[in-house]
Amino acid sequence: MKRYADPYVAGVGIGLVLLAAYAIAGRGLGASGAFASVVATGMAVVEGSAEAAKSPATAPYLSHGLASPLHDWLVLELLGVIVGGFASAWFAGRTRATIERGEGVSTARRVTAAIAGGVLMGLGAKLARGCTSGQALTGGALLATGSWIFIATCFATGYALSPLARRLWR
Amino acid sequence: MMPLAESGALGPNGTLIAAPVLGFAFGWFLERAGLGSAPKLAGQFYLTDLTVFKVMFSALLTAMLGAFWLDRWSVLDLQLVYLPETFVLPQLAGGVLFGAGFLFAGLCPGTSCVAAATGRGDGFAVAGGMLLGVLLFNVAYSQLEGFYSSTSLGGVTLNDLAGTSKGVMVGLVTTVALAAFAIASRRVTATPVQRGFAVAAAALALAAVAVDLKSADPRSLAAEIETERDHISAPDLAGLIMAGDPTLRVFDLRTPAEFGRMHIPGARHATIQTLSRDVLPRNATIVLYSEGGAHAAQAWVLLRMRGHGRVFFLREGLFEWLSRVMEPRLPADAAERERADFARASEMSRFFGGIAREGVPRAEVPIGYWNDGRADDAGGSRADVTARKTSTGQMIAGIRRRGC
Repeated sequence: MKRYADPYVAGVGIGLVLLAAYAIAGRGLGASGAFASVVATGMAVVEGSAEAAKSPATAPYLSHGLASPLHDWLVLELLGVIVGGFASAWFAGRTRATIERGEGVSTARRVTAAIAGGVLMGLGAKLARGCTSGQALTGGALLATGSWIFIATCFATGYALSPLARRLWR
Repeated sequence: MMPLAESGALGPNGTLIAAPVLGFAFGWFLERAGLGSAPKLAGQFYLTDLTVFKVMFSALLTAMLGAFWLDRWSVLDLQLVYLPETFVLPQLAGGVLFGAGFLFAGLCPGTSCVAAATGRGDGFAVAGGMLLGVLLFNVAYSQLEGFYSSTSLGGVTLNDLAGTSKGVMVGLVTTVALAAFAIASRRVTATPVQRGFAVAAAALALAAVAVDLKSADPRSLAAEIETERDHISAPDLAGLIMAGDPTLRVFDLRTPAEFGRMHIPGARHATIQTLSRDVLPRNATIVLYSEGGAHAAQAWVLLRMRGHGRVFFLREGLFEWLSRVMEPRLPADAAERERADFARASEMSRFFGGIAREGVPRAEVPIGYWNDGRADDAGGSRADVTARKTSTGQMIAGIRRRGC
């Protein structure tokens, strides 16, 4: 297994990718938006496309028509993230079927915490209109006020609550 | 000029092809840094591993400085890049929920995908939880809608909020981030590459502060207005047009009907609205005119604030063009200097198809006409403005009658 890259080098690399996204697509990177797009499409399939197209919660993700989340920029981008992440891990010998967790933490506990954390992030990212990629990074680099509000409260909460989760990660 | 999606250079699906390529590189760098491994990310909250912070803020600095300078160099127009809108309370609350979720999950949405792609079951669990959370939000949307849309500030940046220029804010963010990097890495010696990045970031940020302080700072604008470097005389504009200056852009801010009747050759119609958003080359020499001077002067401030350096306006509007270039008049009792100016003006008048008249009574020569535009401005009395409008109208009518 190879050592991880210098975080600053990786960071500058991501910054250049983000800059390229601005220059090519006129928008930044994202992740939670792709989740939202998938959920909106799923809802449209289940409850009928007319219903979903009317709801302001899902309508913005269905502008390309039903069953075509592949026309969504963020969905395609996130597919790229998955392939890119896999490729990097493959070449570094880091692909491994496992559940990563703190020492002495049961699998059930880790998975429960992961799902609960995911739910909270899903809600939070929807409310904040973006996640660490689409809001913090993309908007932060453009100096958007809301992005910096999000960065500040996100990390402040993480640190404030960190004693509660200490046993998960020790 | 970029973004390419706006210029249409890539065709309708071009940007969609770029999406997975950019995503691939994003995922690659995330995994390279180790951000596909939850315990590593969680270390950020216990200060045992600061990779998240280092990666995130070096990416943010790179994109911020790059975007600032590409915009400055007219490669990328940041006006056309989507700026996430600010909703104070929803983003505050969203940050709190997200921060708590991040702590328990040990992964954020993007990194959960990287974790899952590399075989981590916890990555799948986080991604599944994300889908569930989004679904919950959508189901509860009607209850959340009021809060979700509250406290909207629109597309406002930190520098808008602080009332500083963009370059100053870029400098401030870079300074804080570099200081934090220094603290985060204080126990290890910086590698040459890291040192190079830091020096480059500091230099670009310092230059950003310097160029912005030089151009769009309100005090320097005030100084330009004070020293009358904000306007151009009609004969000087005529000179630029006659020389065929390729960077020249002349904008007429009067009504479309007035523009249709008569306008300065080569001028394009514009409104304050279009000038506030349309893309103009950074190196353009921009000349603005309106009926009097007010609209052109307001547009001047707007364009200078947008970062255009060479912007001028005709202080007395179209009237100045008509009276000093198209229809110059020489009073019968002209002084020597007036005669010299008239010789130059009548040559221009011929070029643009006007008529120069000699020996007219002094009373028919507009006040302040031959004193290099140091006449009282459109800020004069209402009667003044009305009289000028009438005389502009009469002059246009006269020119049109002659069929020019």
